[in-house]
Amino acid sequence: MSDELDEIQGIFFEECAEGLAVAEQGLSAMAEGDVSSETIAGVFRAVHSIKGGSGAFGHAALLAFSHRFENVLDEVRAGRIPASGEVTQTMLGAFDILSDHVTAAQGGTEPPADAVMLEQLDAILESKGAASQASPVVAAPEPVAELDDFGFTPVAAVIDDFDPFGFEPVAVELDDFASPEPAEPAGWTVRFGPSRGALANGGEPMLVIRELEEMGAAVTAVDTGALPGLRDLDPEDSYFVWTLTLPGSVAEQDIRDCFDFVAPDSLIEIARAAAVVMVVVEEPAAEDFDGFGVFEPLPVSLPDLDLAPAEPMLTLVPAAAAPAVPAPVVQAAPAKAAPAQAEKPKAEARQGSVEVAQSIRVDLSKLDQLLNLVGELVIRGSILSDRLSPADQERVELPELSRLTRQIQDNVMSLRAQPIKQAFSRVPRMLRDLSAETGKKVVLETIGEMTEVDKGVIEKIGDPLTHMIRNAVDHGIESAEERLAAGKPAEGTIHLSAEQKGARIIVRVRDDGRGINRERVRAKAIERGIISADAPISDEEIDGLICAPGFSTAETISNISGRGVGMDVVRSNVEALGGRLEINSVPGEGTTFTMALPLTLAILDGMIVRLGDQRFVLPLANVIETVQPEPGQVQATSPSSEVIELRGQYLPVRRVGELFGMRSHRVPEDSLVIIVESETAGNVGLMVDTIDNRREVVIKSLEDNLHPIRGLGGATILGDGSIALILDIDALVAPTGGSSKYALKGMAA
Amino acid sequence: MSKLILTVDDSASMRMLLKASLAAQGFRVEAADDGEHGLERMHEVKPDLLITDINMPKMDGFELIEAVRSVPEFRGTPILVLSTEFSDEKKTRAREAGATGWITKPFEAAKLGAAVRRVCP
Repeated sequence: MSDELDEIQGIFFEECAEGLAVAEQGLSAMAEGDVSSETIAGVFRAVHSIKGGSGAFGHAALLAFSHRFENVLDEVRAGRIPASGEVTQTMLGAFDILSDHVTAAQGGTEPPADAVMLEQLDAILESKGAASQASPVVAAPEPVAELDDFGFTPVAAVIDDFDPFGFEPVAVELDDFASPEPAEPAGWTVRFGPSRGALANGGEPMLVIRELEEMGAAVTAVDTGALPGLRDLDPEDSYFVWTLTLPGSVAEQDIRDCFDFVAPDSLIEIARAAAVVMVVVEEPAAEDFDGFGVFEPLPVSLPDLDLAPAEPMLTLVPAAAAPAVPAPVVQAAPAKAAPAQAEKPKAEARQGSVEVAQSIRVDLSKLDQLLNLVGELVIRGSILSDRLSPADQERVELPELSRLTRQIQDNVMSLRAQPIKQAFSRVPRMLRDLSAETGKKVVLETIGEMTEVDKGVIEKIGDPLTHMIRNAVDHGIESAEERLAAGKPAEGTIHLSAEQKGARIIVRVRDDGRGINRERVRAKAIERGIISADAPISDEEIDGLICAPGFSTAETISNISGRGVGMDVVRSNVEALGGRLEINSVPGEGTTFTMALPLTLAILDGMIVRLGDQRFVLPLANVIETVQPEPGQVQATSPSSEVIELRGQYLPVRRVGELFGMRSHRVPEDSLVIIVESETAGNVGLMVDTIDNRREVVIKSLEDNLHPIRGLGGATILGDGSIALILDIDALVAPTGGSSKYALKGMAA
Repeated sequence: MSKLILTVDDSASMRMLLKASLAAQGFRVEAADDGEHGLERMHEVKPDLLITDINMPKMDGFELIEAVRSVPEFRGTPILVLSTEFSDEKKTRAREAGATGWITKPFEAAKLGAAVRRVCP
């Protein structure tokens, strides 16, 4: 069981992480003025769930804090406390502490200091004013502080500690109760008359009788006086009163426990045979001692029972009705007036728009295995289609099989895809903190946050993204005065966008700041020995230098960007994902960081091209068109460069054979030019011998065994079992110099 | 045949905890992750007892209970509501919807079992 509990607990912490993300998103939205009930309810729900689980797993400190946080959220949700900026800010602070609590609970470390925050939360609750008396949450003592060994929270209620031996008003009168250990306790007499309606909603009085019988009870009498004639009898109503006797050795609490789920306006008398009769009127509003109880039925007329006992009677009216000392009042069990007039507050309990997707959890490695198997399936399909004639393919329904394979593949891919929103969601919060730290005002604009990206990518772009944004605020955005002087609005803007472009996801962080100070970057690079003083270097190359290892232009290390993580680490992180980082800067106008990331990790739609006896795979996403050049259409502009004239435009042409130094390759007369689109050099023509066909290929990593090779993204196995290399177009056609390796690292299946 | 309990809770850990606790005490347990799904499962598995969370996406616990009670076949099925706190308002709401009783989260396995046996022996 403990292994199982550990596993469940692990899942609980995953849920906590999801809940925290939802809460943060919601609170951020609230801070930006979205105080819609959906948003607030979403935050409430997230915190509520964390609280629920934390109790179950015995995380007392987390439970206590989330409970207090939830109290405030509940009031805000109900509109009793306005979601003002101040309140939202406090809740954002509370969110931070809650995160720390979760971390502490997960790591088994000391919980964070939360006393100050709790005071602030309490202050918010108190600010609600005297009108709040109706809500017991405010004044109630913290019930969560006393976790027992089982992680079970006893619920504070007056009735909780009821003990006949310690119950003073009675003890003075009753000798039996005053003596701590009566040698021969008198037997119990129990009378039980279920109220009308006790059978509604799944109630079953017979279960109580049976449970009492198991404890040694015997039914001595059944009063059927209330039973009407057959014509008036309602089979769903209860008309009997049972009298039972139990041995005196049975603890009263055990007897009382049997009545936990009995409709509260039922007649229940429990008495020592020779002593006193107690009529216990179960009051539904009081929390039950065991943390569970039953709902009284809606009011119905009481059965005509003779409730007046002959002996002195004690009536307990628990917590809600009489919070102090139960008054010794004789009273017939009343039906608590049900607020039938109360409107059903359905809408309030509805869920908010900030939702966590319903899901099952699957180990990522299982998905990867599945992905690999699908990859193998794709390859086998290719082999079959190579080996079978078109007629045979039709005969064995290969096209149908291929279509299904394709669907499976799409599905498996989508299993790993998640909206990039998850990575974006922490940005608004971070920007606010950064604004506070630097005193710079920054507005965030986000586009395309529903773009779906492989989960592995989402997990890994968080840090690069964070750093790029910190960098933009720290180095890019100017102070308000500087901006005003430059004729810009005082508030800086950071655009964060994501879009799918071919097989890549393009994520951009654009600021409207001062741009990269190239003079200073160049000077620094020379000073650091990264470039030589006389090196001819383009503006783009200078911009790229800020990603060079060991480079930092910050004169003083700020606690924002200067966290020991330079832009070089950002770039290597992006490249480790098989992506590419580009920097474009316009002095005075701002800087754009562009991350081009692989969309999917293992399967690629490719065009198989031939160069001599070698075959290569061109990612189809890059291909614009293929051209069979007329004589003279391809012209040399210098001994080492050629262009193709295409509809009045000239595009550079590269001979793939030359790019890879295939000396033995002879370029045939009727070479084809494939026009490809690249991030690095715009549209470029690639000269190849012929095109074989179009095919899905499974990317196999070369880098497990080989160093990264510029221009190659990996390899694949073709249908006939031969190997073809996959071209990384962007790297292949990139202008030489300045940039680094562009291998499709991490793209392998 | 041991009694069959349907648990409805949007939290996976809570579902698993309920299942582990109840299965260890000899109950068979089915689970659903929201009210809508819970209602579907009611019809599929026809449990001896329904235990439902309140605060859930799509269809909350109150709506689920109302929907279940509106099915004649389930009018007598005991329903326990599971929640972290029960205000008077919440209890009234649950009672009006047709719940049999409530269990406060967090629960201790033995007490959960006791509560369950009290409505579903």
